[in-house]
Amino acid sequence: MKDYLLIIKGGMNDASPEEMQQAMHDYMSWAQELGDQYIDGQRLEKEGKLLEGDNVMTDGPFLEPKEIIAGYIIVKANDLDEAATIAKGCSLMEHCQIEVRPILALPN
Amino acid sequence: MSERNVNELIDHLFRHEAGKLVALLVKIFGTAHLELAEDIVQDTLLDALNRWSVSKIPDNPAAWITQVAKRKTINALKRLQSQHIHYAQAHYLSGNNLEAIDEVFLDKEIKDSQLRMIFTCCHPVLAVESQLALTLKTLCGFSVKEIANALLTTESNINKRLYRAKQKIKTTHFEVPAGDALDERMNAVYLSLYLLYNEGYNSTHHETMIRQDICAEAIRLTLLLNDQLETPKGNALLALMYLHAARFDARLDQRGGIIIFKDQDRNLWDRQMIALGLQYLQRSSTGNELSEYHLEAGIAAQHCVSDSYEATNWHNIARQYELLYHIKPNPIIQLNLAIVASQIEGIPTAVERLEGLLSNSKLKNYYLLYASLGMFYQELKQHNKAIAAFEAALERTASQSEIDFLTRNIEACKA
Repeated sequence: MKDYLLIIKGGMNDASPEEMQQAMHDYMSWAQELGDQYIDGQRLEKEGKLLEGDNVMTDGPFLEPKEIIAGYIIVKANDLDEAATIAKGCSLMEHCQIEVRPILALPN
Repeated sequence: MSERNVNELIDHLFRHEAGKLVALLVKIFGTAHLELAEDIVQDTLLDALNRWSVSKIPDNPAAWITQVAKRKTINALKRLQSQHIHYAQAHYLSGNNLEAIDEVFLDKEIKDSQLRMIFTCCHPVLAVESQLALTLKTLCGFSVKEIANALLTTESNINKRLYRAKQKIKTTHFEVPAGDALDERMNAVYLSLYLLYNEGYNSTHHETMIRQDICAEAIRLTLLLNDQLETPKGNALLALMYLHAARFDARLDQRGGIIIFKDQDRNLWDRQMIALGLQYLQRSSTGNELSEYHLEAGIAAQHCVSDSYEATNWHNIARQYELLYHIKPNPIIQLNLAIVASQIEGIPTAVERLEGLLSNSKLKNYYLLYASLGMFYQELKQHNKAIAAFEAALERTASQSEIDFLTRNIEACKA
């Protein structure tokens, strides 16, 4: 088993209250069903700063709303395919994009 | 993971908290800033969603939502003050004392705000369809997509209605009218709530859930109004809503097919709702007012207390329909009277009356007139006439359940 980072992009800004409650319900059920395979999950606040070379610093994020990183989830899976399947089952898929990336495993 | 089970969250909590808070914030900011109020509420609910999803639901979720909304409101007020933007109810916060905002967030104030919001959404400056859209948006927390879906129209149509409505209410006072104006405005509110209910009850919407949701919302708002401003008419309207809602489940079979009233399984009628309906009907009879709601509730009650279709007191029902026609001269009531006549004077009389209505311009596209005629011809074994009537009905409906129902009947006539 390996750790995978699910990067959530976009958000539910236009969702109705009912859809939000439903999404929360579905997310929590999904995480509960994953059991030990669900490691962690956090959401990000809206503000941020973008730092680039030459000390250029911009308040951001200034991307398209659907590209903004809204949060992340870490799950355990056997391989990338399984991790992707897990991500597909996440209710956030209805409203957001999810990028699945293996976290580089370091030897103990 | 979550320590409290997410299933413990009350159904529609987000939706109803949204309705409460938008009303409350409009009381603070004024009707001109309805969109600011909506934005703050949306932002608050997103916070709840994002936090609760990954940690746990607080012990008192509604209180949590209120607290966060309050904090965001204070920030918005500071922003408005620094930009010298005028907002309507500034006296709540005199002397820049933002702490006074606590008083606005009390339960009593929340109820009062919702009452004001009901009067604002049903304001006579708004067209009826705008009233319904605005009510669903602000008081019931529906999104544009959900409203469009509920009212069987497009999102762009609803956006237009909401835009116009918001422009118009900007100059209205966010208040419960006083004195002589109150009666008239109450009537407008009752009518709007009645139409909202009918939208759920009578629409040909294929999704039962959506229709039940609308009926439940109409009842919730009528209760909210009647709790604070009880009138015989309000009680009659509630009676009517409960007595109809009691029969909701019996109207369709498991595959969504229509079951005609005569064949409905009365065991499926919700006894608790019937009891509530009868209780409100009783309370509506104080005073000497006899409104259309009293009569419609009275007719529904008469059906609900009959043990069977055959045992129904048709004379009583006919009498109430006649009184109703007197108050509200509307050809659909004549149609109902003709159907009731089939039980009292026989089918040929009913057919004669219905045929008389065919020339009525208001009914010429009404599917039920043709469907009813078809059913009566069928009983009289006039199968060719029945088929023609059912076919005419078919041309006048788009609802799948109705199409299936008519097609079944046509096949039965041909067999």
